[in-house]
Amino acid sequence: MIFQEGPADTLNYMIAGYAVILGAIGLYIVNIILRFRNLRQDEALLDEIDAEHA
Amino acid sequence: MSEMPPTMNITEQKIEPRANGSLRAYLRSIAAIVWKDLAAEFRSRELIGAMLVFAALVIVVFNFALELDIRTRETVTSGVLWVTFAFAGTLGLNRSMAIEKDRGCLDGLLLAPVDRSAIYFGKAIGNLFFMLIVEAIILPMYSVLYNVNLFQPGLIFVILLGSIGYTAVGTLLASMAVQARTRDVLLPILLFPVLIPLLLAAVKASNGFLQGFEIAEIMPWVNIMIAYDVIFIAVAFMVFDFVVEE
Amino acid sequence: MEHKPKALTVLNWLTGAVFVVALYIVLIWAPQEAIMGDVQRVFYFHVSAGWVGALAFLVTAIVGGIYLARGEQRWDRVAQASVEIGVVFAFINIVTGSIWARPIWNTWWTWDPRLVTATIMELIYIAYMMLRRGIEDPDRRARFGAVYSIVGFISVPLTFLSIRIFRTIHPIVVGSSDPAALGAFDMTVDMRVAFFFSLFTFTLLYITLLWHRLRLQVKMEKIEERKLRALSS
Repeated sequence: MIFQEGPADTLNYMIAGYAVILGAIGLYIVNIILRFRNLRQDEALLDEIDAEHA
Repeated sequence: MSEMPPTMNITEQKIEPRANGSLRAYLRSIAAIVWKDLAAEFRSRELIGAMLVFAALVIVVFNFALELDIRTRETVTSGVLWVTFAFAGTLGLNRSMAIEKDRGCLDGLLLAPVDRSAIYFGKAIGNLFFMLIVEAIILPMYSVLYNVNLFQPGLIFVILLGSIGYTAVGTLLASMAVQARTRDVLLPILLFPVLIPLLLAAVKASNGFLQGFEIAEIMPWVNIMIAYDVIFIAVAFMVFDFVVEE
Repeated sequence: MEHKPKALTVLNWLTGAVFVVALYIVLIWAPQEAIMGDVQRVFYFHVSAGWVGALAFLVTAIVGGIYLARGEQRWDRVAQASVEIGVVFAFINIVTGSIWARPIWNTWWTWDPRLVTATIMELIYIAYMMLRRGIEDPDRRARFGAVYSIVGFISVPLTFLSIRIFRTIHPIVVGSSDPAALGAFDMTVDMRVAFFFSLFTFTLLYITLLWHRLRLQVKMEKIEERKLRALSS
């Protein structure tokens, strides 16, 4: 696919590519944050239970 | 390699395969395990029976799945053969290791004063025998059904190499898969990605021999298979302990 | 590790900043490729993601070996963390490879040795996770994971080699006859700078994510332990 005048217009593909890259990394980071948050909620609950028993 | 307390000197001597007279003991323990499997299978024939029926079905299904005129058949034969062997092989591996686990044979073997690697070699060689027997029956079956002469020494050699690599890795992975909850589905999932270089090389080498290519063209593939076999037998030998320890 | 260590906070900011700089470099600073146009810019992060995928796999195999030798749980934690990150980045590598291929070879997939090997590596990762998920006992889970990651890791170069040889004999029908040249182009000096900076950025990202994921694992285990104690009392 060699164009005689100028480079091919592949901007859309570039955008798609970067959407995938940033999206995947972003989703993974969000996933970790959410898991941390869940654990903190569990921790708070356990603290309550421990306080009740003490 | 074995976690024996330092006080048990006598048993330690038996376990070290490198000590002089114990090499024979080591080999004998391997032979014993192989013989146990062969004898059990000879009596029940369930493993080989299952593998055979499955392999035959696969071949028949291929006949309908792939429209094979005479010319395409020649190029496709090695692929069909190896896919058949690969799938039938997982059946055999699964059953072979499941039998060990379910009947508690594995625990018995582990208690015996036998080097863990002997158990690996014993099982692997047993599995290899089963696979070779099945292949020995599939080859004439395929030859007859598809009117192709498969009895060429080059092809036989490739099948042998490939089966060795297959059972070397397969025995190791099956030992793990059988201890998991999802045991039946897990083995193919674990095995096939790792097997790809061997399968690819096996198909290309088989094809080369069947179609009468120059030896020089086939050699790279044979070399890959040999390298694969050597590497993974060594790796399995080194890590098998960790798979069976309690 | 109750509170976030200062070093990690610093690392967060550093990685974030470096990443923004890298985005600027690859999207704006680097020259546009003469033939392919803008899609070539995907290449920088595509290869870097592939690099992280492979690095994560290597790390998993190495700490797996160390775990087998020492039996210390912290090595297994690193393996777990590394595998997750590896799965994500290998996925990025494969998909961006496909996106890059589309406008250039007019196909969503090419049987390029690197792309296929990357996919197989991803499959091995996933198989690894499925293996671990099927085993109850934590020590056995760690051991089996270690064994499989070692077996898997050793198979990958062999896979690449065999596909490479396959490709030199059977070139791809659609596309260039040079099997190593999926979308080959000559890199100018500027492009090389962008390329190596991307590699550096992603490596930094890997380390940061690994650290976070490790902290998560430690916390997870602590909470599990407390739950068990609470249930049994």
